Amino acid sequence: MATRFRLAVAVTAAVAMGIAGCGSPSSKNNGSTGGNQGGKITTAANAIDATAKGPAKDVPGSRKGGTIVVTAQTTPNTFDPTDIYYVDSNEIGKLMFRTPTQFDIRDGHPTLVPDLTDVGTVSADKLTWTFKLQPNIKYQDGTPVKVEDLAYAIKRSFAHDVFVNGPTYQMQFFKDGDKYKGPYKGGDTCACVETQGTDTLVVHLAKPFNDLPFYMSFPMFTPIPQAKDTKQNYKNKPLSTGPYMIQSYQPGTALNLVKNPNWDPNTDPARHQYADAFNFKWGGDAVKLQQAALNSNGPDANTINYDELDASLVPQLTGDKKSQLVQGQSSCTIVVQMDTRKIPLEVRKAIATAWPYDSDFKTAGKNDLVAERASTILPPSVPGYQKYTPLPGLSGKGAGDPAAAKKMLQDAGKLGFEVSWFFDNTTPLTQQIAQGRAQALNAAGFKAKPVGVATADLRSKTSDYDAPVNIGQSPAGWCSDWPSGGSWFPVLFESHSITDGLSWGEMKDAALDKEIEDINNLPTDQSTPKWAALDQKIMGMYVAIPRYYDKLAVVQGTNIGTTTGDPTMGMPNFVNMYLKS
Amino acid sequence: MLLYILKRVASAISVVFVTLVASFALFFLAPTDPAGVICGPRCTPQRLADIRSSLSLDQPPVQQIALYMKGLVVGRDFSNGGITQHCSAPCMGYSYRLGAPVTELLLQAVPVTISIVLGGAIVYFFVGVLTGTIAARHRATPLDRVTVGTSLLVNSIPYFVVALLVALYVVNVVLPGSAWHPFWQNPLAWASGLLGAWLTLGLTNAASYTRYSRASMIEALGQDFVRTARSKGISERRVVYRHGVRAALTPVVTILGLDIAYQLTNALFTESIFGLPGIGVLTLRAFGSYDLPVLLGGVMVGSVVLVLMNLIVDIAYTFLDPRVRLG
Repeated sequence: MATRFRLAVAVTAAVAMGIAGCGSPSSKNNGSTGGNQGGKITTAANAIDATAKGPAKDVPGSRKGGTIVVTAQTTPNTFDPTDIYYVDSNEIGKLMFRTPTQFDIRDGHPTLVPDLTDVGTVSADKLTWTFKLQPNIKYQDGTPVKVEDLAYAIKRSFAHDVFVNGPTYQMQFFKDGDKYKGPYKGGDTCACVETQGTDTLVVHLAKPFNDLPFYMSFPMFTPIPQAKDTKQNYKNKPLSTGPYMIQSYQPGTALNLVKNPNWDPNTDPARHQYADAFNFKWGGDAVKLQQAALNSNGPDANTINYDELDASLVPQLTGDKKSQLVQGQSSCTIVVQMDTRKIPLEVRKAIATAWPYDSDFKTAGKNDLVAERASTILPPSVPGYQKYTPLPGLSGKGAGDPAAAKKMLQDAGKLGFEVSWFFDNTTPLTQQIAQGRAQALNAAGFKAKPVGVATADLRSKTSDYDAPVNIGQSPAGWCSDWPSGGSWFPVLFESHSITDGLSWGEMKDAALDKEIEDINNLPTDQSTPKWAALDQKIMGMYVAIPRYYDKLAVVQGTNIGTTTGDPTMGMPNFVNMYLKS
Repeated sequence: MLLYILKRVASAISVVFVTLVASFALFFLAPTDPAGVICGPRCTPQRLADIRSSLSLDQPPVQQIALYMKGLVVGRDFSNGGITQHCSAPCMGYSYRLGAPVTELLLQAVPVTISIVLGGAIVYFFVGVLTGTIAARHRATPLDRVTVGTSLLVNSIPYFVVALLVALYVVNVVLPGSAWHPFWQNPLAWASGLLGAWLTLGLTNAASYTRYSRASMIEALGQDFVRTARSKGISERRVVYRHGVRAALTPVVTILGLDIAYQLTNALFTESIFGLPGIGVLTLRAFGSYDLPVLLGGVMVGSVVLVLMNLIVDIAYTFLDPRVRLG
């Protein structure tokens, strides 16, 4: 997935955790934790804690009471759990929606734990997963959660023409996923899921899906009683199973959550209910909201803003104000990809050699708080990442070496090679970035041809792999949907990625396809090191210029207790937040 | 008078209709990508096609506008994925981004903007007229010069600078915090949450009204009827505030009406800076995400407000100045 966008979109779900030595997700696995070093990205190495039970471990210093105000400029698009995919709705949804599994953030690292069900057991042929529902779970209105409600939620997710924004892995992996159209059109019968007794959920797959337990943490798996499904109106008043429930909601403007009296902390190993309420407010100016949080006058002391920290406010973060900075991990890598079909390997190496990483980083308004220079495909917070010595020209740092690049072009007989890309010509920032890149490439003997387009045209232009450009097509980055190379390499580098419009490098290599599939079919403990090796191999093909790994950097008021980041979303971890007084 | 009003209403409807058609045309002629915005970064061609279909963006623009107009007059049905939703007239559709009925979004936003603007208008009208009248009464004195000088100074500072400074360093320190609370739920909280915006909008605009009122008062106080009133022995206070102000108010009221109309459609800075969810912020957000139904809703509200305020000003004129007749 691509980068965190302001304005209208939020970053897609990002999951970062480690799985080490794990034969099946039902095994307990205690990996070592890398230790969160504030804003520095560290390699996640913990895994699954299949025996975790509620209540969740108390956060040191926490206390109950008060109302936390959360602000942002961009508004979440929906709170229908089936339709949630963006990270803002997803993180807020964790306050309301319990799912079969969930991530408990321990020392800044996510560990998959049982939530409504256990973490699942898989059949020998890897095509059937069984999950056991915890007893005595209730909705906000006191009615019990039934296993049929979990099954219904899964079926509902197939109504993709109604819930167009939600994830679609179930269509690819679940049995009948290509045929079933959801309960509104296709009726109740789906071979993808069944219930047995009062507590057993069985998921049937069309092909192995080793990472299913991680996928089951998505909000679309939260239970929904069929009788209470109000379809397109469900988003206005979804039923809560989590510690908070909706008191009032004005779409696009405000959301007020209050305590859910029927949430039992003893059944929940991942969440807390410290604050009495959460007030979400959207639409104000991001810089003004961040400044207000930093000033912490009156009620602003209880406020956290989750827009990306504006560079203009960084100089204020000294002394006491430093403690108002919330840092954490994300699991996104941002790149400029190169079309391997249109640019020979030697020329791609020359582009990398000439690339002005430092000025590019600065011109884009990035700083060390919000981004870390990249040199790999996988970010450090995803298992499979390995900090190998960066390949020549792919360190993510430096001013570029135009002389060396020119020599490479001359040796290849490609001096004057045209390098072209689309850029948004309506904002000064994107114009400056394009200009900087063009200057560097021209100095290196290329013929740089940046093509300016209107903002509204950019997406359609950059997603057209047949367009007359050869670098910078989308996606301009990627974030994990779950914590393994399995949510990166098959998506971005197999041949189908070109028709999916989600390709880095436009690779069409049958041998590479097979290599990726072979690794993807391995148990996670065996696949993880192989992803690392594949990462280096594909980077050696010079498919993309690595720019940076995203980081979480947001500001909060002085009365909010120590807030940690949720690396699965790159957002503040709302379920652990509390007020100091 | 009644015939005049009817003619103006008919004219207003045609203005709103033309504005809507023009907005629709601009939207489809200009580069826009509402489906792409919703689709987000993880956007496959299939997902994009699904979104376009769900928003009826795959229909011809002429058909889309015809359905929109039909919805305004008689309502319409929206069918998607085996589900049909009826939208009663006046149906302005559903927000592409939020999926919420546009009517509902507007009904939430309009009271906010009206509250901001009317409250601000009360402040700047009364403060401006009072200070302008005082300045006119004490014309060419130090008081007059200070008043005019101060109004010029205030007018020279960009509004958004003043608003930002107030929002960051005065609100929550001296003034109560900015927030929207519907009047019917809690009038005190409503007033308290808007106080910062009212005073900022009011006092910055009062500077202009000081100068309008001063100039108008000076002219009114030089009229024959004022000299006649003085010669009858009426007190100066009564001459100024009973006779002079009434005559001086006429042009000021005209400007007030137009200003209110303008601010109702341009309260964006105030709403954004003070975090108030009015129609300005709603429309700006819709603009950025190519949310056509919300955009059209905002355009419709804006055009109705403008024509209505113009009509109200024209009618008010006849009461303020008996010499004016409508026809």
